[in-house]
Amino acid sequence: MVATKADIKKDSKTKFILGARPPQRLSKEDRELLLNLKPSVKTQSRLAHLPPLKIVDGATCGF
Amino acid sequence: MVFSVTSPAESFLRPQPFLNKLQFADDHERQYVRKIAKLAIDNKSRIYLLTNEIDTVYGFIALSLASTISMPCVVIDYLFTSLPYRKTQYAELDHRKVSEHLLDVAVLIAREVDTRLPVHYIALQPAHDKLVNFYQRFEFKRLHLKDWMFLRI
Repeated sequence: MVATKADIKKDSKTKFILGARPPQRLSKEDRELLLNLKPSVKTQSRLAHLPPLKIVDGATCGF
Repeated sequence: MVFSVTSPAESFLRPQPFLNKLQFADDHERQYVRKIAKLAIDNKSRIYLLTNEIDTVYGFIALSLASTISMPCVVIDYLFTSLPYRKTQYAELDHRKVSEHLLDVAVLIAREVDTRLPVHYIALQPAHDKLVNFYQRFEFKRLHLKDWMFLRI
């Protein structure tokens, strides 16, 4: 895992690095797992019932 | 109550206005949020707030773009729910929690990007092992050798 230029240090209590990038090199097993992933039917079905996403511009409302 | 997803101006992400709008379980969380705001100010991540009509901030999600095995993906840099609103389901959010709704927002944004540019996955790195189950409920898949989880969009 590579930290960004922000050079945020790895926290000792977690594995989490803010701004970390996903791995480029993977084992054959993981690469196949990733390549064979299919879109989640459950997620697609749930999102189909939601209204289209509307994003408010914070500059217009005090954010 | 009416919830909105808001893209904050850079001036709002300066430590005082941003941190003052959120409540934290400990200083550890506060420091993470301060750092993610800095990433957003530096244009390395983009923050989307979940707000209501009286300017309460319930939480936020921070997203960026990257690639893995040469395939573009949206990365969830951070997902945060303000302390008073954790574990609460809201009828206005289809009886879902703030964190669950923010994940839906991430998927909707990734899908929107995918209409214009190819995006194959949403990727994230759970901060704790105990979060793995939460993301697995959304059908994120965990790699065998790395800490990352992926959802194909």
